[in-house]
Amino acid sequence: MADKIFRDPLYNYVSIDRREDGWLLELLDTPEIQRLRRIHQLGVSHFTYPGAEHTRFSHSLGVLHLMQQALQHAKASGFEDAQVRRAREPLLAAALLHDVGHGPFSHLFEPCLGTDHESWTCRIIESDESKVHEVLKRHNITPGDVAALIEEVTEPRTAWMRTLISSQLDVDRLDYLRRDSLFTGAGYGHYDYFRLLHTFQLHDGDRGYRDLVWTDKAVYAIEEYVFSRFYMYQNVYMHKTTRGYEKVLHKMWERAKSLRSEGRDVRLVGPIDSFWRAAEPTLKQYLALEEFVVLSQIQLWAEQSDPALSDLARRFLHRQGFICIEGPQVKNPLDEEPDAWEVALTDWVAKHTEYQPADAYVLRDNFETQVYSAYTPEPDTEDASPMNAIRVVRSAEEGPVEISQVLTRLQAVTNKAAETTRYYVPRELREEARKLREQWKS
Amino acid sequence: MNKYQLAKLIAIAGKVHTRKRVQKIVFLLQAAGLDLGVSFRLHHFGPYSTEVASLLDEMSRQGILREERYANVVGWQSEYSLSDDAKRSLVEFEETSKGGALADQFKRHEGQLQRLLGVTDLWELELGATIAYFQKKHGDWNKAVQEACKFKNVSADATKTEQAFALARELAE
Repeated sequence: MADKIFRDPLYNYVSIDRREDGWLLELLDTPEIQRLRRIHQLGVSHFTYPGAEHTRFSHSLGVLHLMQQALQHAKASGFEDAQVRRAREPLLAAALLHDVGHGPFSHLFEPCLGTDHESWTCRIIESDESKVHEVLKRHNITPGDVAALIEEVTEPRTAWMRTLISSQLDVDRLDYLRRDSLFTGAGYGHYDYFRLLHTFQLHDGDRGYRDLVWTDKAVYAIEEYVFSRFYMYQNVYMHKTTRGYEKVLHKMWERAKSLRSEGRDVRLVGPIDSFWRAAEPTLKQYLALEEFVVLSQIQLWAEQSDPALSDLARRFLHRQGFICIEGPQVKNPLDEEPDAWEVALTDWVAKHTEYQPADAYVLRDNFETQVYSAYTPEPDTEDASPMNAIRVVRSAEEGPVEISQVLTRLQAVTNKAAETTRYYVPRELREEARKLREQWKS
Repeated sequence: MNKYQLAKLIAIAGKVHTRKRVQKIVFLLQAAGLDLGVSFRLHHFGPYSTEVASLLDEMSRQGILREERYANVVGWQSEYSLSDDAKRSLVEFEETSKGGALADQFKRHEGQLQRLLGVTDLWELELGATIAYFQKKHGDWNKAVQEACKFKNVSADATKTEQAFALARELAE
């Protein structure tokens, strides 16, 4: 029987051997994986980059493809010992399933749900309520082994497996940086991913850790990758307009919950009503939350009697958003939340009768969740691991060295100061808000 | 965790040697009940927070922390102390109502912080933090010690393991 082929805009073909890995096709057909076709990879980035319509499904298939290549490299390089052979199926499964627990609009919605996708991913894999679990067990792949690869490393000898899935240079990032670059049109995602997947080694370090490191041959490919990551972070993942719409969605959600807790009538669609009522949501209740459910909910709220909730909903649906105002320099660097500025901004917005209550119209972005972060390596050698540093081995005598110590020009991006706080107000108030900011003295 | 909290920790310590020590102290102080809001994941050297790592970098760049880096046989290590300007900022900030409230919060855990700062053996901190991490995960001290020893490839009966366990239990129980 021929391989199953998927056409992919990045890799041209992603192929699965029906005889050896037919179980992967069964996993692909589960409702939990098929649900990923309905989740945008980049949340609401399509508000900024209209082409960013790609989904978690295509990304998951891409990560699987890269894991296949990584394992082929392991075999071809001769380090496919018994441990690596045993890890093959759990690693392929983990690659395909690593994002199965994502909620609507990916990471952006996690604060609304009060949960993180990784714990739901592990729950889907380990729960006998899921088809994913059923398929894994049917093919004698221990669900716990797959979940362990996604959750965290707990065994030194198998640490390298987890770092293939999740670390500073892993198959997940190698796919999404290029995929996001292609679909947004922001052309920063160019690096030699093939070289990166064919130059890693397993390094047996201190205390029994077996780590993923790269050889000297890979340094320029790593450099390209790090710069690419930096540019994507600056231009796509932290884009002001996108973050603004994320904050609108968060504020809308918060407003609706607040009104409901005051006993006000807030119309809810079935799956959201059910999720909010549950003290501890079930897997079924969580998986019922899809983007079309959230959008239906927002459409309902657009007709809600509360003016702020309906206004926020309409602004989201019709892309009539907010504009960004940078926070002022703080006098005392230990006082990170310039309350005086936020109070002044809110008081000023409150003077406009159409923006009530004012705190629904002054949105703050604290950059608390740096999901897609530029590369900032751990500088202390004794605290460095693949989880917080990309390391190369230059000679047999020298241990692994973090890449920006080898290529010092990388320090231009690894040492860049992080932004802290941005504020958003309705776009109609743009000019006045900027004047207020210019005149502000802390 | 905010900048004030990390600055206060470093101020009380005077000087903290290695980033790993900062990481483990923050973890164990949080386990002892000081609400710092930091999430940790398990890395090779025990619980690690990218937030703490970023704060150290950011505060060094801003001149709040004085960072000294030096090479040793292992590679590179850092040492942190508060800059003179930051010492003044700390005093000024604690005179505000917001700063005063944060200072009071720290005062309630100062004994535990001093206990941690008194641990000279970094390995004891590392293993103690790892045991406490597994205890939080499993809710069982015996299992925590077993898992931590397996993770660290050490014997549960070793003297240092017992010391680390005692430290973890003293703070995180």
